[in-house]
Amino acid sequence: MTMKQAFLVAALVLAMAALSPAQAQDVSREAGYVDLSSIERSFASPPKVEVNVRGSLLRLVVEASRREDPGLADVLSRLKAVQVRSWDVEMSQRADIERHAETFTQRLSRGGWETVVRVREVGQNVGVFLRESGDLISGLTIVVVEDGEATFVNIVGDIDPSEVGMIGQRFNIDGLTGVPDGGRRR
Amino acid sequence: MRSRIAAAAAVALAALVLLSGCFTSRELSGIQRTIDRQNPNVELRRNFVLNAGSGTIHLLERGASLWKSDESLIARRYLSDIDRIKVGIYDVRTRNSDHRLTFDLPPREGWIPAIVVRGEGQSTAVHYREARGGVRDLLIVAGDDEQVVVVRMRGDLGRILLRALEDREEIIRRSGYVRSDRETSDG
Repeated sequence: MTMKQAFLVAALVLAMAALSPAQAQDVSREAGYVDLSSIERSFASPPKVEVNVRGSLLRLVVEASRREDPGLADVLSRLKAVQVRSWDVEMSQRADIERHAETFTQRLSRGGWETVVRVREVGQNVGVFLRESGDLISGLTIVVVEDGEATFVNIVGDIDPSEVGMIGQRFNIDGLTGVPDGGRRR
Repeated sequence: MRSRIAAAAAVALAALVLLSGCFTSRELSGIQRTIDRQNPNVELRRNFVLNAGSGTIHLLERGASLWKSDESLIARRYLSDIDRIKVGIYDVRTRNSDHRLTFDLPPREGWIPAIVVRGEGQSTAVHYREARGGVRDLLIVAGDDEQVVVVRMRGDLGRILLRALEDREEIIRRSGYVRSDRETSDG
């Protein structure tokens, strides 16, 4: 092999190495990932709050959290993505939104998601769903429809339902505080 | 004498060429057009645009080094991690009073919407882009009924954020924040 050929091969290997991290971060291929665009189409307006934290940004959040709360950083370090969509809901829309949420959760169940918690009461409709891959938890999806607000959260990664409130605080997601864990703990 | 005039003219011309791009930005103009398209009852008028590349930022860094103070030291540390920064400020002119400013930047060229918050009469969107295993590009669009601000920053943003957290205590002290008695007793 000539020097020029060796240089070209080295350049090609380096280029492939540079590209591979991007492919590894394609979180949409993870078992615990849920495409929330399906629920977005059910609403007439874009969400009031939209959060998409993954990859490098999530690692940044982990490092930033490590100083203040090492326990939270440990929780976040096991995650691959956090997605949130939240809408203001008027009373007149409540029935429609509940129907869309029900369709969404039925699709989750058909897709292999286990229902951990289901609460249907006046003023509040909460669903917590878990996705397992072998012995590991690969994702958590939470649906909260209550007076004034509808929130959909998908957390990809190894997450304990009892840790959800901590994540809600970190990302300022009001709908996640007080979500029951259904007795599922690590 | 003539050589001095010629040298001064050359410096002025070089500065003009260097700095002429500092107050325009094709990218920011594109974002302005996107917002205009999404809000037909709203017109954005450019108030201020700053486009500083690595050359200008390096110049600022060198300038800060001439100013011997803690503040300039802090400024230089942050400037060293920034490759480019673009800032656009636009005044909002409405064609009717019944409007709600919205802007949705379609994901393109790898931009990921990290956080988008849409409220009554105000919206904020933070988009980021990854490269070399880190967050290298940041695009922030924040607006209300009176003004829209667009900030595009490129550099080692991860290091900037972590450094800001390290410096947070110092920043709080310099801003004159006084801890309450309760915080003091809780230690």
